[in-house]
Amino acid sequence: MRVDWQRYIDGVLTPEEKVVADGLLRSDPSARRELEGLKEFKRALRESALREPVPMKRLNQALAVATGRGANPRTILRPALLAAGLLAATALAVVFALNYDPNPYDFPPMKRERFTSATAAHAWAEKETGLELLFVDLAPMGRTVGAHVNGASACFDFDVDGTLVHVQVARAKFSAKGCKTVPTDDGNVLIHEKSATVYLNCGEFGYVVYGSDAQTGVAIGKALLRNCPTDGS
Amino acid sequence: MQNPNQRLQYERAVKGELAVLYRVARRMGATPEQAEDLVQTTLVKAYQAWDTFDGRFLRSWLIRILRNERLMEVRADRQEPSLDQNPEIEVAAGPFWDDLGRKLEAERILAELDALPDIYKIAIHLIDVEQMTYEEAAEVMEVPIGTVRSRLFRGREMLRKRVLRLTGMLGQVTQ
Repeated sequence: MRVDWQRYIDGVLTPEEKVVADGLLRSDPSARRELEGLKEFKRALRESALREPVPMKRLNQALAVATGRGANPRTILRPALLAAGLLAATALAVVFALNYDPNPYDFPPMKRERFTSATAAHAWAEKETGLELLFVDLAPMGRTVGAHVNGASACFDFDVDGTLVHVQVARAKFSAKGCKTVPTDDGNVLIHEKSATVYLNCGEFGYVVYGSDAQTGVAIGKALLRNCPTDGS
Repeated sequence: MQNPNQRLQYERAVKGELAVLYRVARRMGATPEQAEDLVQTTLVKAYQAWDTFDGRFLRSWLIRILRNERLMEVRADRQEPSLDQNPEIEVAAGPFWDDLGRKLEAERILAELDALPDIYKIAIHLIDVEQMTYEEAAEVMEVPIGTVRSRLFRGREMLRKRVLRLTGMLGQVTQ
């Protein structure tokens, strides 16, 4: 009869099996060696598993958070991330210091103006970019606070319930990759499911709404599409 | 659960299980960061349900919550193998454990354990590493004790075969 020494160690052999096992251990040196070897293996397995580092400090913080007593450790930088971040920041600072050039590729500089009127912001942006842009006004949802342009791209800034929301316009066509499509009467609004950034296409331009929550972003996108003079798909 | 006494009672009871939860999460395939997050989610859920805990097998109760959370995370990507999906298990006869301890480094043993399908490595981890009883492990895995026994048996045999291959002892033992 073969003895399962693992079950012997676990203490779950039947009384009959145990009698046989104990008899073997008394009479057979190889059975004793087998049992000792198994114990050694289990000890090594356990020690190895217990030797793995456990972030006790952070787990204790997690416990405090669970009971409402502490700051969320997920919002505290993990040591490895912190070290990597510091290293990257240092490397960037060195590279930046050695190679700093305010405009190495001759990109047109960004121009920024404060506006309180959507009409004035629109006129300024069209003049600066030389493009015929879709008129963007979020009133009454939000009020115009400014605009900035960079080459052929314009961005209108709005205050929506105290939050700064940007509507960027550029010659671009957006696809639905990574986004959820929200069909409207005037075309489709695309919303990125992770970042809540809203994209839409109007004629030769693409519009990006960012800085708002998903619901507001979609509402802004729909309002923009309603104003789109051509096929807004 | 807002009572300060209950909160204190919960914290005292659970504090000793934090490392166990983390290790089990790691054994379930979670990265160190995922394991940390998983433990935190478990602690939140356990705290919310503390009133419903029946006082038996605290460790099993906590690991069961953790396991369910983990399963929800990975369900979309992976399927738990059923016992029938591993027909290759054969019981190798003859001495095996005898001098194995001298042939293997502990880390390699753990790596071989981690390579087993989840249901087996969890059974082995709970019983051989965390030294839980079959009954406690059955509570965690939500299966009858007989199933724990068979998972352990199969898991250990799989581990044994893997270790045999590693040490080049397979031919000697199974012939």
